[in-house]
Amino acid sequence: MPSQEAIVVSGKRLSLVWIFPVLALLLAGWMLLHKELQKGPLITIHLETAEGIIAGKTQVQVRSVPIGTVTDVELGEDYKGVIVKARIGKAYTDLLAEDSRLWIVKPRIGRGGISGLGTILSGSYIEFVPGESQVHRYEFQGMSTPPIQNDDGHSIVSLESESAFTLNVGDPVLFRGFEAGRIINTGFDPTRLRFTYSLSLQPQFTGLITINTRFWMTHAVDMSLDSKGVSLRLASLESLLNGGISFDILKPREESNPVAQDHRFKLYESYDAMIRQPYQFAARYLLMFDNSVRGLNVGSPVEYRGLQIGSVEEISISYIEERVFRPAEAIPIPVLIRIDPGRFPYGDTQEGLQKLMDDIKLRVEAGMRARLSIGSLLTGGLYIDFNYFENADPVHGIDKVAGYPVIPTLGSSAGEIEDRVLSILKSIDQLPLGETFSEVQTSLDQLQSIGESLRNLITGLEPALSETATTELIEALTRAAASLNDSARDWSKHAPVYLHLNESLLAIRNAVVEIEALASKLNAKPNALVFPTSPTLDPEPPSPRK
Amino acid sequence: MKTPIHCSTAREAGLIRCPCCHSIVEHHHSTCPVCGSNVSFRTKDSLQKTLAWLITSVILYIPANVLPVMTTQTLTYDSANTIASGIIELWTHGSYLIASVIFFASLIVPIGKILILGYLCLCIIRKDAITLKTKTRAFEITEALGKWSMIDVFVVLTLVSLVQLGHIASIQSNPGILAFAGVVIATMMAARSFDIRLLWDSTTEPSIQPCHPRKPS
Repeated sequence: MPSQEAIVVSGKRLSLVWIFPVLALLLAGWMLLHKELQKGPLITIHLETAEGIIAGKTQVQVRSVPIGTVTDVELGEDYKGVIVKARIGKAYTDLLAEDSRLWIVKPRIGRGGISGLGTILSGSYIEFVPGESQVHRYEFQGMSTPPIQNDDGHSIVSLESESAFTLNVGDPVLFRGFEAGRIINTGFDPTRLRFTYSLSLQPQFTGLITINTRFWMTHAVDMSLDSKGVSLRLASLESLLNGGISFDILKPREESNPVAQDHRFKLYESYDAMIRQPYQFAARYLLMFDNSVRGLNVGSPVEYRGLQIGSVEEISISYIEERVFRPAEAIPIPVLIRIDPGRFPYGDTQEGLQKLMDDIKLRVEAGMRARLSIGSLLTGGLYIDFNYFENADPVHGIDKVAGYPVIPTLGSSAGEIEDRVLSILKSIDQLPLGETFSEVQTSLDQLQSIGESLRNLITGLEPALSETATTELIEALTRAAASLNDSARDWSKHAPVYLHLNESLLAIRNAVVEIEALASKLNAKPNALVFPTSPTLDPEPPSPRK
Repeated sequence: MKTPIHCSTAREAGLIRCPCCHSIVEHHHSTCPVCGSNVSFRTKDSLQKTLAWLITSVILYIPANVLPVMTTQTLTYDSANTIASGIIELWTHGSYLIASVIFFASLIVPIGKILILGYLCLCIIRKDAITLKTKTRAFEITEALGKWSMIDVFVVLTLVSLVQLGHIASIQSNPGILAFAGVVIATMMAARSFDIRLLWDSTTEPSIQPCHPRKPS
């Protein structure tokens, strides 16, 4: 029986539902591709230790912004060090400069403050400071300690000293009396036998830390007695209780280079010690003195025409070589001095030092000599004075004794001064003061006898007056007046006695004035007896500003 | 019509069951006289649709497992977990029950569903005749369990909306969960578009119990 129904044959057509697999394919493909595209480069960091680093958790941060995550931590080849791999976000690929710096940030707590507090809870992270190089790199050497610029913007400065000072963590660091930071660490380096101190300075003082910066101990009361006299220095109250460190720039106007990161500054014992020897390089010379160096100390100034150019470093007989050490002759006293190129325009560098030494050689050949001079009559302190002397014996080149070049010396100016003063005193002594005084005495005696005879005359006159022989009396009176006039003439202005007395008094006065002038000159310039004084110019008022 | 018919399926008897009200409708109806639903012997393009949804779910299954589904941020760490790494983490933290539930709902169920449906489709295409009863049971289980796969999506959504404590702890969803939701939806759609009656057609051998009334509604 033929079927009346239509035979329905489903055609081989695709259902609309197939759009979903296609969509799914596109979606899944895009999701996976997107993730793959988001993936940044994998960097390798070599570290000493992976303390606090967890793969998959620890972040790499730039200014506290996570730029990547540690994906793998493993020991390095030969099991020294650690290799940390981190995936950096694609957007931050540009940061991976060749000279970037990395270190692990851990919490640090000190009296000066707390840093990295967030890491106590969040765990350590790797701080990444992008470099400025245009060359990119995917392998870095991590730093074991944070560099000078730490995470709080404070700079870390390292100091060292040969002897330990009473400094504690948290003591203030002052810049001209203003608190600029704190001591955050003290320690001892046994290999170099130096005590080390770390300071944390506020960010605004970072620019002051250059090779020209000097650090010294702040003493509560600083009193010293040297060739310049007595000096007294008082510090702030807090450092009075705690002590502390001060710093300043040596030459504020000079542009100076920033220090290397591991630069260690010398911590001076005091401000004066710093001022005495603030320079790194020094030209050392030996001076041989024939006279006594008593009053010359280590640290005494070495001056050129009153300007300090160096200081005495050592006074020791040990520099004398054996061949010079002959019993028949008086032994010269060797004094080791240092002359600082930093005080000259040469600069405190190796080249500056060489220039200075060449310069000194030329000047010595031109007649520059050293000698001892009195710095302070009060303390008897001596200093070494350089100057040119015409009567100096000419020299060619500079001898060396015990490895140090020797600058020829002249006799002490101190001895000369002594002699001069003595001769002045002697001539004062020789002034005819005794005679003058005896002459004055005689004159006075004569005056007295005149007065007495006058009285006798008056007594003799009295009976005459009573006798009322007036004519005789008047005559006698006239005679007496005439004789009185005669004796008065003896005392008149041109009389020899008066002239003699006057001369003597004038001589005394002149002598006193001269001594006074000499004394004031000596006071102002102790070597005035030796060197001619140049007249000082009258001070000119400064021109008015516009 | 009135005489008992010895036949193996309703189709051979010219009867259609309404998918909505389960009424038995004669084959000349195009709509159910009771409820007005469209009726047909076999759902149109059922196999094709099922296969399409299956393929969709398989494709989405890859990003669902490769990409992280959830990012947990706390003070101490922040971590992005995929489904598998989340289960491992839960297990290592000792939450065995939750780990098992999520393992079952998120890994076993979708995979099982895809495999079962795929196997059933294969049976229809190759006209394999394995125990019909087993196949039907498998399909029923699949359909019943299918919705539980969404538990993972719910977990993530709940956590994301509840745990937003700023710095202390916060949870963010990641694209992976979207793909996973897609997988679950696609498998559900596949199961839904699968016409179980197609299984009956594949049995070429005569039925052991002719005209067995499956649903004597």
